[in-house]
Amino acid sequence: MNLDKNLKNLILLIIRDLFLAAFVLLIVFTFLEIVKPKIILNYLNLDIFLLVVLILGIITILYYEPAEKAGQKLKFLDYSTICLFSILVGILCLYLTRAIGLLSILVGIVSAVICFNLILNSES
Amino acid sequence: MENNFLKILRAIIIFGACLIILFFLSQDFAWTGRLEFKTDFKSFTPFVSILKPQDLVEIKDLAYVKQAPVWVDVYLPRDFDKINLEFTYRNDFNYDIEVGPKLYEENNPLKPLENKDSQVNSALQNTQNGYKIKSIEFDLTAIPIRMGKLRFLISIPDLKDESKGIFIKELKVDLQRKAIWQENLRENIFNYFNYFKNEFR
Repeated sequence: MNLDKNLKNLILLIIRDLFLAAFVLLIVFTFLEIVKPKIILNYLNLDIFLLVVLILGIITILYYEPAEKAGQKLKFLDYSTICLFSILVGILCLYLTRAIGLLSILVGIVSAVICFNLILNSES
Repeated sequence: MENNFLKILRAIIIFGACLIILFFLSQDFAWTGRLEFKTDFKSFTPFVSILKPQDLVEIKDLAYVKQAPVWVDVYLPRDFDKINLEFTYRNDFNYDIEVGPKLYEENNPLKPLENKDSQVNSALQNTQNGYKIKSIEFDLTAIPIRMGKLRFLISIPDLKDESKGIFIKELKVDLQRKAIWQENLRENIFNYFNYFKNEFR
């Protein structure tokens, strides 16, 4: 019974990791598509990929329960990942708002900072 | 034990994700020096359009060209040196067929795909189930490419009767350039971005 529970948790953990990886890939693909249209779409059906991400996401949200880890501090690797992700979001916002000129740089920086804070708060 | 397993698994997932991104980039960069694709003209594919104008073409089991000239757009993701077009078609009335880039309204540099006078032997060699397979090559270094797209004209001057057209089963496109091991990596990437800057901006 305990083994079953462990196995179930392990599978859910794997699904969650796969979801995170697929989600990051989706963001990278979207960013690449904005920069150079059809760079990904020529070789991959993004609709199917999105469906896979959605299914993984739904399973993660419905069944995954994070273990209680009170007081555990974030490590350097966690900070680096959050930083990298926030920078990516910032660049994406900067690119999407490039039409407004120099203000887009401000928008990019602000969105990166907001993203960093949001993730940090949710982690803590 | 489980923690170690998860760490290894996460490393594999991150490595796999990086590999996936690299794979798609390498496709677009054509690092092997070749990019091949084919179409049956029944629908738009990522790299080849359908035959246009659409009212001169009927899509049955195969694409049926009832009037000419028709053209097809080929999309190039980066700079290439050569393009090879391989047509699989049925030309029951032995028309002369010419193919070439459509650069101007008239007098385009067309090359003969099929010629009544010289075709007999080569057509016999390249026939499969009644379909002729013929290819034609063009040097892309001298052809201007606009918006990453190259339009190829298929001219059949003798085709006058709509009921006596030609059937095109398939077009295979083979784009060629120097592979990454034949060219400096810096030069390769510079050429890619240079093409991107000139064609898509």
